[in-house]
Amino acid sequence: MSAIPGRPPLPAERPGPLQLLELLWRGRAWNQLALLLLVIVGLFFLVPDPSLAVEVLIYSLWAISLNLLLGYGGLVSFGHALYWGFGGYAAGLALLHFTHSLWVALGASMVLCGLLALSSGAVCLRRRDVYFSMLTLAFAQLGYFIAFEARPLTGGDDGLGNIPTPPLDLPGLSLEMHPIRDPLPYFLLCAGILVLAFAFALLYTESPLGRVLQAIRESEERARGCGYNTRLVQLVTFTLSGLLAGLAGGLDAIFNGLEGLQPYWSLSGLVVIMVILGGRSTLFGSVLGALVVLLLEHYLSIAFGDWPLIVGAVFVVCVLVFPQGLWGLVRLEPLGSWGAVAWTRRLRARTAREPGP
Amino acid sequence: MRGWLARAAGAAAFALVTACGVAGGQSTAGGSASGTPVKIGVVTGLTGTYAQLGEAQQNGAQLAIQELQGKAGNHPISVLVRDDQIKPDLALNQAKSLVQVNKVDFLTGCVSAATTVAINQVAKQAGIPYLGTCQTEALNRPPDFGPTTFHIAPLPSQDVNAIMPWICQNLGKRVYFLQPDYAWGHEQYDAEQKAAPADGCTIAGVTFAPLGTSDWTPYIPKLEAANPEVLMVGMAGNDQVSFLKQAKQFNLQSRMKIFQFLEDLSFDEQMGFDVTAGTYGATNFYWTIKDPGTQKFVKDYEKAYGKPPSGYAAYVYNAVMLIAKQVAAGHVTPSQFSKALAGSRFDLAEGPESIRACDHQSFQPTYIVQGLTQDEAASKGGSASYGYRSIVRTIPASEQQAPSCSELGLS
Amino acid sequence: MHLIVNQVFTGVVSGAVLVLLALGLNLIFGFMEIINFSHGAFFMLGAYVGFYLLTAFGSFWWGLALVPPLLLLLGAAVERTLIKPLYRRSAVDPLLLTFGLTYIVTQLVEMVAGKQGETVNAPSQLNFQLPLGFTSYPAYLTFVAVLAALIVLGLWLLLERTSLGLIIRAGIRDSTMIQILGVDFDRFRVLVFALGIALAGVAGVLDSPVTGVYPEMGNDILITAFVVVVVGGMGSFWGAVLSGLVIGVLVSLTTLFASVYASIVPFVLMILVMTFRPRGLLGTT
Repeated sequence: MSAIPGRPPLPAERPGPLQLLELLWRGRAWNQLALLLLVIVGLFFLVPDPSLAVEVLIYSLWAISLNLLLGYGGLVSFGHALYWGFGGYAAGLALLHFTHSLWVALGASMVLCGLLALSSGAVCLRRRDVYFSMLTLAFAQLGYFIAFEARPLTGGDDGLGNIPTPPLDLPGLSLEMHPIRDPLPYFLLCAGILVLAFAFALLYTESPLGRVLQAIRESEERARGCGYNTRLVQLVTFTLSGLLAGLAGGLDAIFNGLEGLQPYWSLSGLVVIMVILGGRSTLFGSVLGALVVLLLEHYLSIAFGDWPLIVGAVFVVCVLVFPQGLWGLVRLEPLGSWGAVAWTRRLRARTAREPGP
Repeated sequence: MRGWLARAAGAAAFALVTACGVAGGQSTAGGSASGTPVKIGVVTGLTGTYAQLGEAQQNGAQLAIQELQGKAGNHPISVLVRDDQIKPDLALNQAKSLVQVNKVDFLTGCVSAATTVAINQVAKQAGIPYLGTCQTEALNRPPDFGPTTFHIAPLPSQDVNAIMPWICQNLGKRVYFLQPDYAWGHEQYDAEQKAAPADGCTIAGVTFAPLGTSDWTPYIPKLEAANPEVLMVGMAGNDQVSFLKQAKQFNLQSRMKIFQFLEDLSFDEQMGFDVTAGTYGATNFYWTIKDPGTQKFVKDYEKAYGKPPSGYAAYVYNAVMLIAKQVAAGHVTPSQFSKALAGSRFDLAEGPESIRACDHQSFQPTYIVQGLTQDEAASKGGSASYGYRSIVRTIPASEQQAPSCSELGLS
Repeated sequence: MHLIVNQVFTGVVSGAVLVLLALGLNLIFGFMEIINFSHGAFFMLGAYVGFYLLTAFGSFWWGLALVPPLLLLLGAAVERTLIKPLYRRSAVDPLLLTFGLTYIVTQLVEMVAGKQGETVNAPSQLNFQLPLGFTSYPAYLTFVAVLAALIVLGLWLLLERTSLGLIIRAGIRDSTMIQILGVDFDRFRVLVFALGIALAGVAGVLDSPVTGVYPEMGNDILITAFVVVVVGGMGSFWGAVLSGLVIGVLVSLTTLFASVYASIVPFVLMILVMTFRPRGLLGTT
């Protein structure tokens, strides 16, 4: 969260940690966090299928991690399933062979995926635009292939099954978890982690580093002209994004007791859809996207076998008419004002937005 | 979960959610029985390479309910069918939602070894019985085997051990194996590697190809060059169909005996007489089997769906019938059910079968079928349009075909 | 040796279909700066339309003759209604839109034709083994390679020898300039997009007797076609042709020696090319 070493200091309004927290408390960011809590409470009370509710939380986390890259960095990764999948393997293998601690397993997911993202990001970020997307895809397919062929380790196509569910160890409390019979503790765990990760991502996007990232999205040349090491900023984001995706994948694998395997390009496509559909301009949009896509998928697939048609149509309409996604459509300014007022305010805000820091 | 739902019940649901949830939940066939309703969740692959098998399983389940008229003894009985797209994680989610939301009492179905383990895992955690209906080596041994896990399809090794001696004696000694590159294909080959030399065959070569391969042309020159007497085709579904069609273009059928490890009527239909004529295949069900249970099933199935059933329809039909039988006899709880089913014998859609007590593995005969030409179909195959095969050999079930209970670590 | 020659020939045939797909993608990308993610869906649609024409008229040739004009029209319609509104947007938007379009097309085909797929018979005229001196090879596959070569040649002549081709090439080099010069750029965008879709449709028809038709048939091949475009160099005509054939042959040879690695070969090649020759095999910038 500090400025890049060896570079001129950031402009004068550079906020310190305290100011950032204040910003979080007062500003736009706070609204988003409130909305997230609203969604969590809503999931808790309104969704009759507890597993679905937990999945929404986990996929939200994954979508947020991608949004850092896609929305804030302008880097369209078509290989984000790699970190999700390998995060799942890391957590699963850790619990099967090395540890009984939830935190160690999730830590393993994050560390492994952080390193994986760091190394693959270093290669992918050498190229821009489409080439970047294609390279992320290539790495994801490579990872898929490794997971597929390393059958003794990963279970190959069968998936890595029989992952034990660890107890939830908190200071002064150890709670047995049973995802099928009693999903509540796991729901709370995921909700807690999601809120923390969301707050972290908010702080990151509001931090100087996050600002530079957005500047690069608008014009990389200008950002470089301002003296920033644009590659490094993107790489840091890529690594953080992979790390959070790994965490999400780890949570999912532990929740299911299984890390399945399906082609990573289609899985990556799913999370891209979530981010775009929800709205890539804000982090909360990703939560919205995950919520809508999973609910649509779940309920439509029961009632109407051809649900991808509707998801595809909603997606196309979204790109055509609401490039800002669902969030752009129903964006709630200070928790309440709807429609035209918010719309014009947003338009004004957009035109006023400066391209660089 | 109770706590969760009690909370959920107090709150108003999203209009969409409720509407769809209710609509999706009601596929129950009506019955006027008075006992507690029994629900069976069927998770199968209605999309993907094995879609034809999944559709057959769906038909089999619904036919069974129809025949039972929605009743097992005094319990209303119903099935809920879900598509897993033959992806393990999706299978797991579908099974979970069946258990948590629809409160099913039994789980069954699967067309791929990859999904069966996932479904079984949910069943084990929820403590309800699961009846696996596809070939796999996983369900009847640790770590996947559980007190309420049943496997009513054969182990790949059972079929291999049943058919290899016949192949080596009747078709040729040099065998080339073309296998799908996932658990099921490797399980087949593991058994074949052992069985082939023991039965006097030599292995001319082996190739593993990814599930979902559609262009087989790069695989064929190597097969030709190895020049085996017999080509064992280990793939199923669309992979088997597209391979055999392309092999025909290369004229492989005339140069080697082709043996399909898994014959299924739906594959034969897709390939047509041109391609299937002269090939051999193994199956655990064929619609012309002379058995009263089979013939009743075939007649009812033809009436309902306009064509004879395939083996995968029979598996799930059997599963639903077995459950109904035990429920009618009062064995409703998972432990009562399992105790009664383990070690039992029955004669349903697939002829006489038994379930071994130690590992809940079913034992059933294996049939070797030969492809007929269009002209022979009516006279030798029993039907001008569906008489693709004639049964050339019935191999009775035997304990020797499967690993023994002590080998599996179960007593 | 004989086996290797055979395998190389097989690779050329599967490469030929990839080349047709990649050329369409490449034209659309070069001229319109759009990544058409729905290319695979139109490949699949072409195959299905060909299959239905075959069923209706009883001849494979009807499909081969009618699919290109039909998909040309469809491509033009899609461009006008869905792609045109995105002209001024970022390059990501058309990519995302066509990604969603893939879902719609695939699902519509599933609804109409079923999920299971159908097999397609090669035309009876080509249902024999062609003696090639050292070996014999299915005549249909040889036909696919020859026809693809003719299409590539025709396309090249169109681009090099006609005034239409001149405008397309100029547009690929500098689209702003030709707009300044007063060319009605819009009209050519429709044309190029439709042409690309028609090429995908032809590729689908040609591939259908080999693989059969099924709703997901466009997915895997699309990803490989993308790889072909990137490896060849985006916007490079002969780059796409060369890399399509190279990838076809490499995959085929890998199948011979280590079949399980075949599916990963294109991606490894792409990572290598991107690392050591970022502009692609024959790319210019």
